[in-house]
Amino acid sequence: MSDSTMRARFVPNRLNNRAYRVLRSWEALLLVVAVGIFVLNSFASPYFLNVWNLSDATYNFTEKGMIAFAMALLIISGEIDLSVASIIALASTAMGLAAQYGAGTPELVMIGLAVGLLCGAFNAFFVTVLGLPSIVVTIGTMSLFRGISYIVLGDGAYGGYPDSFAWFGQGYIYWVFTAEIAIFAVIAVIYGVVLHKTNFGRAVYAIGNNPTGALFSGIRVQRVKFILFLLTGLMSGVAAICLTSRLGSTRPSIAAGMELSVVTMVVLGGINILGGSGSIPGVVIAAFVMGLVTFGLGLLNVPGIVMSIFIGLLLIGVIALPRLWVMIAAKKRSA
Amino acid sequence: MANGIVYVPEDRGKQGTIIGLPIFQNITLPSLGRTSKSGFLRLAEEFKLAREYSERLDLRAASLDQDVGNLSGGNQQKVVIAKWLATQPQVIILDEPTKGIDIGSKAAVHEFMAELAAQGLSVIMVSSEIPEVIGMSDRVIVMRDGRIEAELEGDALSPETLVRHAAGISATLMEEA
Amino acid sequence: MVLRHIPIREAILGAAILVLLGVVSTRYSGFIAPANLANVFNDTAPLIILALGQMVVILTRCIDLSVAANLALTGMVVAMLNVAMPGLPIPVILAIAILLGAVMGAINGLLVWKLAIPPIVVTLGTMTIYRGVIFLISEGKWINAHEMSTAFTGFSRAAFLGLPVLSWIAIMTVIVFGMMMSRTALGRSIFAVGGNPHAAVYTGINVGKTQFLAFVLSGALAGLTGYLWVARYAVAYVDIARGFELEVVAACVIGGISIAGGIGSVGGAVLGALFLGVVKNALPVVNISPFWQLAISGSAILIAVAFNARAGRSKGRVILKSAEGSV
Repeated sequence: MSDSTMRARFVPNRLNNRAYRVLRSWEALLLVVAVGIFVLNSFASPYFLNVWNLSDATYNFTEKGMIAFAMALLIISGEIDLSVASIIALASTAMGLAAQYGAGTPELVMIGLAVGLLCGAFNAFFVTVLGLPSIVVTIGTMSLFRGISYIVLGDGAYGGYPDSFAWFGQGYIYWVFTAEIAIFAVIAVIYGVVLHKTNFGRAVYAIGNNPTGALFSGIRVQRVKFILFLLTGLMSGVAAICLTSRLGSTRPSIAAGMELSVVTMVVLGGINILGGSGSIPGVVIAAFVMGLVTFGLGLLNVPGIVMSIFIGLLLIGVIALPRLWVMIAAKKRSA
Repeated sequence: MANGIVYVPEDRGKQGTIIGLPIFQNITLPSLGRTSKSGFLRLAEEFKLAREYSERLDLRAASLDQDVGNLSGGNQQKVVIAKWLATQPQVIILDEPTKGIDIGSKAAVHEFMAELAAQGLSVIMVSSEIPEVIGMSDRVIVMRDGRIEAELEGDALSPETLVRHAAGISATLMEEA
Repeated sequence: MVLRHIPIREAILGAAILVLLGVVSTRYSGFIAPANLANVFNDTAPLIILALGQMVVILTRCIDLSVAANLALTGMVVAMLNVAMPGLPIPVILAIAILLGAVMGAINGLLVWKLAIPPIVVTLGTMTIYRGVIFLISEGKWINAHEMSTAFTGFSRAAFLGLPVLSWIAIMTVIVFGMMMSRTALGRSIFAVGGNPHAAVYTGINVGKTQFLAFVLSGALAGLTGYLWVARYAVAYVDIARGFELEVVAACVIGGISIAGGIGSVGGAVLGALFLGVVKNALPVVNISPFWQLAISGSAILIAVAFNARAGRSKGRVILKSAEGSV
């Protein structure tokens, strides 16, 4: 019954065409949600549809988004980093300290990035070299990094940043487009290309689906994960520069709780928390959605801590609702 | 891998295929260096490579884009073999290649292995099925407790001698029985 | 049954605590006076209670980051109850606290059990939701000592045989949990679920349900501690016990409880909590500012996890051996 002596059977490359696949994706659904919230917001508050207000609104998601891109790759590979907000605190503290000693903007940027990279390397060491679970390691470094900031700063704050430093968080590159949204866009494009168009990105997906299989296929799993942690730390450093520049000051409690928002953004973007799937465009749309939600709530004078209830609900809802749907559909079918 | 020696593992699910990824990505994974350009993926090249080897192995699937987890055991094994063949190795080691596969696919795999050998590839098969070993091999190395016990070929190659060496029973005992 | 002496991990931890006490006493000999030690124990009591709850959760391969928020919310609720109805007897308040905490734990448990959402995600979410709810019900206002009834605040401090009630509750919890883990079917299932969930299913244990119960227990203890906390510190507001969940996890990890599940002991959790408690109380004595505490618990987690992994999987009750998946 061997067909190999005859003409080999034809297996097509793909079953569905691109349009079909795109329309049925999580990203498409999210886009609809984003548009919906936009419309809702414009009815809810008269201040919403003002170009400059919208421009200000972008600050709600730009810093978190920068980290979310790196975090997305990390989560796809099957790991997680809960210490990102604490890395921001430490990087910000380091920059503040340097500013006290009269460092100029270029030096501050280098320090911010360097601290981010170092923290990322620290995490990477414990997870890839020592082989410890990233959840516990980053819960530990979450305390450690912020703890160091507390040791250095205690109750106080650093101010006194050079004027030119403010450009990152407060500057504009053209009309209403802020420096931060530009940085966000550049990072989005870079990560999008890396994840979807390079061998490295393919390796990340492979590792997330089956680390043993990936290893047996010649992928240097530990090296890839090490790099991913470094990148997450680096992006936290970038976010630290932007955030510190925007606030103009540093406290040890800076960015408290931001790791929750970042993880929510990633999960909302369609990245599977267990690893193996998800896309960058999804994270971009998720960033917009979260920005719209927080901005809208802010316009309605909802206090921050209540806003975080929405974020918490969003995080759980995004994962729970699809599963509920499947469960209900299965029940209906068997009934 | 760098020396042209590839290994098709016994544990197909965990070590062989990457379930969650499509068939063509599974096949091209170790060969990305050749299909990609300066680190950037080229999907057209990948599909070409995947098609070439999946046709050689007569892969049964709905599309190359399909998740490899949807395939039968036999077809998954074909994907794994295709993956390693695509790297154009000189030596291919197959560890229990027909374990848990239906008869039809088993025969196909055997036929294929013979073809490979005929093409000049060195094929090393690890197996614990006596008929398979005797039927397929030019030369058999029997191992026991991690050590090479015997090397058999030609007339010396029979089920009895195989089992005897594998179990470590001496020839005199056998003749007495 | 093998007659087990004090297992080595707990022995090392115990020794470390003694060494710590010794070092501190050279600086200030009053530190190891019995009265002071009792004080330290009392201060660490909430951590001990919560660590026991977290231990049960971690043993089943889950994690509960919402304990501090649970504690704070329950604390605020009972405080508000006390302000509204000062006559409400303490046992009723205790019951309400435990029940409310258990309900919050049950929410976590249900999401993990029925919807299979990873515990880290669930508890990250409920952590912020519960905290936010505190703000909603209290409108951001504080409840201060003078608004609470004397019975309310006095209960946890009432001395009994030389130790405050708070300490006794901790001791009782340790005993109850010790017995539960070693003598009951539930205790055994908890170890089994964490050690080898697949095999546990074949022995008839419902993995999801066991995890659910673990969360309920953790929540109930958090609720109890919520009352104890606001009663002891005589204040209730949104931010109480902020970040405490990290200390609780640290106590467990230091106590040898493996994040992978299935390995750990009541003794370990208690010793881990005591270790952190001694450190915390020793800091002001040796002139180290309290701002060091966060970094210390962070480093302690890292060191403990690294140490756990090195020590291998030879500790703990191996209920169902991991035969499958061993490469």
